[in-house]
Amino acid sequence: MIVLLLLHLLLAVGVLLYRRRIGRAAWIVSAVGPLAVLGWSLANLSGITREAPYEQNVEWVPSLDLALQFRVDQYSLVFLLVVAVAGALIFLFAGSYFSVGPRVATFAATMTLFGGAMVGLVGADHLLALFVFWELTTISSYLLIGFDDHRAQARSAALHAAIVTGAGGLAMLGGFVLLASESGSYLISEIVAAPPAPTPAVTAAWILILVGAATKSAQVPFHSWLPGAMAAPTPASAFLHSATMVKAGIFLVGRLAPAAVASTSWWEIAIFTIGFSTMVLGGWRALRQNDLKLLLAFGTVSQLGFIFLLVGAGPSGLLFGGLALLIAHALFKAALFLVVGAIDHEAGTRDIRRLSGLRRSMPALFWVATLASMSMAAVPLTFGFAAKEAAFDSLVSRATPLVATAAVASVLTVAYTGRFLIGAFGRHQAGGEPIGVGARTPNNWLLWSPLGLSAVGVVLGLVPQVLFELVDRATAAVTGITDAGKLVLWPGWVPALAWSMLSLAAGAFLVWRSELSTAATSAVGRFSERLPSGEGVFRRAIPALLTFADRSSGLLQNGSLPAYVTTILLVAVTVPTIAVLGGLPPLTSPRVGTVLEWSLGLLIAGFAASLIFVRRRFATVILLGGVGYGIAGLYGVLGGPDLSLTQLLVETLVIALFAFVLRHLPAAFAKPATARIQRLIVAAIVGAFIFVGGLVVNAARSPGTVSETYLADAVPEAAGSNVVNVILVDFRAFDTLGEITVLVAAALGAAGLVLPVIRRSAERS
Amino acid sequence: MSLVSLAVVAVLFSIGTYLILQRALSRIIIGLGLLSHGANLLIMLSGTGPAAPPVLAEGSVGPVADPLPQAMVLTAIVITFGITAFLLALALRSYLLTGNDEVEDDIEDRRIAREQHVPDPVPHEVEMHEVPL
Repeated sequence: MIVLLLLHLLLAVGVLLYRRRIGRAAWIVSAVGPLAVLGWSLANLSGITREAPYEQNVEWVPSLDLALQFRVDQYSLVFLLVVAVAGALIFLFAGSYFSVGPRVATFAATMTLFGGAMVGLVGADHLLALFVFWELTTISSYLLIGFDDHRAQARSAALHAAIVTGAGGLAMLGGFVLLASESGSYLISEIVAAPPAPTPAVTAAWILILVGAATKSAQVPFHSWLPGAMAAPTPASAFLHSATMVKAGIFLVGRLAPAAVASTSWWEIAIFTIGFSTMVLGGWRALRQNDLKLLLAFGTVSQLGFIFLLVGAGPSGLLFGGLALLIAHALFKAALFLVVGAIDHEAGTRDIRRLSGLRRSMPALFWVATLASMSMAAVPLTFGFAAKEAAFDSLVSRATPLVATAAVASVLTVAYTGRFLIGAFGRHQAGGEPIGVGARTPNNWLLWSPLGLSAVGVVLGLVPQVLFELVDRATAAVTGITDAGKLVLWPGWVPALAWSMLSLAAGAFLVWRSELSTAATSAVGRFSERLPSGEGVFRRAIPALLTFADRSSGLLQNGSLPAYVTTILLVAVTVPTIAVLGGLPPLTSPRVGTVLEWSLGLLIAGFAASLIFVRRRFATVILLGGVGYGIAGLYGVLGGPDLSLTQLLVETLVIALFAFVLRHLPAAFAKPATARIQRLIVAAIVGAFIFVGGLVVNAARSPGTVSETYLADAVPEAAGSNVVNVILVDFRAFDTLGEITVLVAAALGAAGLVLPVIRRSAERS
Repeated sequence: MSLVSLAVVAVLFSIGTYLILQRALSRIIIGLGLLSHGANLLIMLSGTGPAAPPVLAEGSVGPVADPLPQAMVLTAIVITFGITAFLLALALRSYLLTGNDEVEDDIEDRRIAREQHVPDPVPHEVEMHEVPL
């Protein structure tokens, strides 16, 4: 497994390095990746199916318990085979589709990286490894969708896809971490084997994971990135939206659904709601498209909704039909995307209002498209039919409303399939100059790749039972249910057949009387345009977010120093206050204080309070000195004669310094600035906070063992009787050294600032 | 710890805050001075109350003041002095260069706050024609 991943990396790097010389061979080289995956899957097929899942454990950082753990069972194998078959044919198609050049080779390398990431995603057993591969697909899909980087549409579509799926991926990561911490393991196999108990954290985890899967698989309400992603070159669209990227979310919900159902009560309802609404909405929107590729894109959204609900519903037989449908969808949707690519390449447009007469000029392509379309519409004798029968059959045994809703969506599927086929290959008179009459069927991989995909679909449609064992074992690997459905050419007269025949007939009627559906869709369309659409919400959300960022940084970073200081102070006050509100520690009752303390305290407070009102600079300095001398007195009272002396000395020096500086400044401060009241309020809050905080902090201090050690050791160890001195010059001498360094640095800085000024004034005088 | 000393600490912090919220640099320095006085006194209050100095004379017995807060505060006083000297030099230099010692608003930040960035409009529909390469 790790070899396969390294091979993809190697191929991509190789193509990148030789991008100027490799030419068309870039695609042949890149196709080695999916072919190797195909070979590996087939080689391990019987081993995995008959014996045990393939497991590989690559040690990475053993001491941190980090390892790349892979586990491929039959369920993963289904996805691997789909990726490999579709990937190989799409790569060969791209060889004929693109011209030659270093940019194209870069594109091929990106596609290879994407394919490798997808293989890793499907094979990973560790949730975090899965997340890494998941995000790798997001990043490489961003590069693929935005490949035409000179077009604004391509860039914005790529960004749209990256933001939606990236945000979903982050939500999913949060869900993974929660899930792992609740269940005690990051290994998917262990989580599924022993699902965590339904706690609120587990519920949150499942919601987040569901959001991640829904964004990746373009489910309502996150579907809007997928139609936009049609800005990508067609081979990338075919790869991303038939076989790989959008199937990642489906892979994830299918893999985890049994655990999710076990630890939530709402999972199934959520999956059904999301899946059915996606299914109906996608089919509806597909009916209104004129761009063939957009039509297919909305059709993909619709099909994905169906597969999502079948695969994600949990331990039930629905998974069987879901997997069959997934295989069918990959085959016909990749084929149809490639057909659109071939038409676009040959005729120069894919607008159904302009294409005309392609059936005559490109008959081979027409038949390829017809075969794939029949599978999409689930016409009998195709693999799409067999798969849909299996799906309907499991829904019938579940509940009638479920199968009825699916049938309604199927009517839409048939209708948009007809619109696709007639639109692409039929004759039109209306609307401008028809294009494509002169186009010829290409005779290269532009034809052979979709033909190959359609042919596989036809063969599987005639002998669907060959896939039965694979799908059945895959279902059993996840749910433990065997024989959940059957894949047969003709199901016999069962209720499911009635439902599918009914939807086929109704869809055919809509195609025949297409003016009816056109009238209906445009009438409802006019109404629905007033409703918020996914695209509209996204398009408004991004500017709103940017405006919010603008406003908030304008508010917080307003350039005013007092505003910054206010913010800092208020935060510094608020956070500990919240902590203290949780519960105050018991307070020791403070002493009232001696007469000496009272008189010194009143003196200091009086000096300090006058500082608010005094506007003459020298007066403020005198007041500050008064405060300092008062403090020195208090130190003396509290038993610190050294402190008292130092404070007296320093205070005198400070007054001298102020006097020197203020000589140069105006005598009085400018008029009191505005916002005096706000400043007073902030000051009062800080004062009150310090008062209460002082009470709390002092109550928390226990008699210091450090102080006692110092007191005991001063004489015997340092031979000094003044303990404060001993601490400063002996026990904590390095601290004092640091203090001196600070003083020297400050002195140098101050000298550097002031000396040039003094020199200049000396020269002038 | 005495109530009156704690009240003094609170008053010093409060008025120091009021002063550093102003624009005149010399006032801010005085405010910082008050704040440091308050902080130093708060540290001192964590020691014992009025007591004999922690000087161990021959044969002296009985409780003495806690030496640890004193050592810390002594360091703090000296460092505060250094910072005050540096800030005063800064204020002087600022005054001689600009003609006042006020801290002005950052003009660049003001401009950013005033400007409203209108994001580029996002193209609405997927383009019809893909350019085959």
